[in-house]
Amino acid sequence: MTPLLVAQIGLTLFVFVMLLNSAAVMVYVERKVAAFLQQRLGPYRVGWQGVLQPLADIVKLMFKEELRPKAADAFLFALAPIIAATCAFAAFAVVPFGAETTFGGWLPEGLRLQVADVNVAILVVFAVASMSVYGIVLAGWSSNSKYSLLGGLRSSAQMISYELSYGLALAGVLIIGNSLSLTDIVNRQAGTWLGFIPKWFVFLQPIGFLIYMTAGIAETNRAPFDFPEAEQELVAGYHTEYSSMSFAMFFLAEYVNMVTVSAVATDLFLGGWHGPFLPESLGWIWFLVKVGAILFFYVWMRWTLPRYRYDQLMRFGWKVLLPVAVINLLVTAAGVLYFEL
Amino acid sequence: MGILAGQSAFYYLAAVSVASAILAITRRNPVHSMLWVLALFVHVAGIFLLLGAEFLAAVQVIVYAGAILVFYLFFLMLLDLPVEAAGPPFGAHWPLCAAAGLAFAAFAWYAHDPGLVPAMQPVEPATRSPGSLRSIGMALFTQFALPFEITSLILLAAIVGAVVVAKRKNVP
Repeated sequence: MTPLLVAQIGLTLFVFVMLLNSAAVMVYVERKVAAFLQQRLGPYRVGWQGVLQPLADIVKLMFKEELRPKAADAFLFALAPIIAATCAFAAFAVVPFGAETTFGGWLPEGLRLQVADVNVAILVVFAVASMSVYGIVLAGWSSNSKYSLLGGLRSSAQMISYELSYGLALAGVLIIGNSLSLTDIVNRQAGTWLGFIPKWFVFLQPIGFLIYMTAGIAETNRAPFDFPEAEQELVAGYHTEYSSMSFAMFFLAEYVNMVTVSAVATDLFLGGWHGPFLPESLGWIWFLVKVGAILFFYVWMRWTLPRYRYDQLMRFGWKVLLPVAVINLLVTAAGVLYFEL
Repeated sequence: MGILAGQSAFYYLAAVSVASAILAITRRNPVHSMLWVLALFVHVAGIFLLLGAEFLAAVQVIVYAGAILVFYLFFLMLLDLPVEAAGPPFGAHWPLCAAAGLAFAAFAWYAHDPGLVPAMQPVEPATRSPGSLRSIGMALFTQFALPFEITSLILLAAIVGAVVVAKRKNVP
């Protein structure tokens, strides 16, 4: 085993554990930010300022009883949360989060801070995102409950509708970046214009960024697009019949998906690990700051905006977001041809 | 990847593809059949990966597994399952379908004859990977531009047809 291989395996495990941790941190952040936005205190009893609350939640979930409806399809009922969680973790595998590093000369050659450097990374993210809908749909169907089924149907319709805009928003960046590899795209965003504007693609693709963020919220089923689990209408949507750890898997998948969507947005639009003040080797700090900012934005949106109506969501997706995304793509392509970027 | 690893990967993918295709047409529960089709699509994407066609593999998963099959699942979920499962496993037209399938297999076997296809053109170093996005894009918009545009016309006709069918309900 070469040191590089050991480092790569260690990095993979590290990413996995950090994604698990990020879900726990996000649960705490979500509850705390929600409380502040509503002028409450939020969790503050377990540990200092309630920081141990996620641990208490996990213990509670683990010791709950695992239930399964009598008429459920047993195999698919067990498989659905596994699909959801697997897809959530798999997408992060191709996301780079820092420049090549040797850990201060410890390694003979540089290690890329990325689990797998795939030359079609964006397509992998997109493919895994499109597979994750199966977890939700199968959960809804196999539960054999009307609330679950309606939640599953809504989510499949919603995810298919918004996947198109999501993909078209990505395509604009691909045209400018001239590559499908996330590492290449990030490296093209190094440096500044006029000495102070960072060369981030968000300045070249502002509309693309907005479309990506909107479709990203819909893809991760977050408010104001959280129809699959609209509790006033559907109890808890597709995971109504799930309890204990299989419910926790869906919960985990939702937060890990949020982190992945934010990390991809950081790499594509916000320059990844490039930023002022810090040397390239500490670029991952910039990456964390940017991902954290987007995640905060997500939580902020959830507790600020009311949920749309379902027909409004569909109309918005097909009649507003998709045409705007197509026009954005055409203008981008024409601009790239004209200015020969 | 070593030759042995590549071969065993291919035989695994091929065997699972055939097995899931057979399971897909013999299951009585339509949702289960569809999930076997999903397994088939994912394994076919694996075969594309083995051939170095990463783009085709990704598109296979995104378009077939991620979009088209989800639409099928959408409708199958609303079926009355006990009624579906109680019916005969194959419709009355199954000999016709089997004949069509065998005919297609015969065509595929016939096309396999190297005398039928033009000789392999020497691959330029720039387009070494035949399945890459660049080579597919170049082929679609230069050599095969006309068939590509005809395909888009057919798709447009299908969209117009779908709109017409959907609109009809509103007319009294």
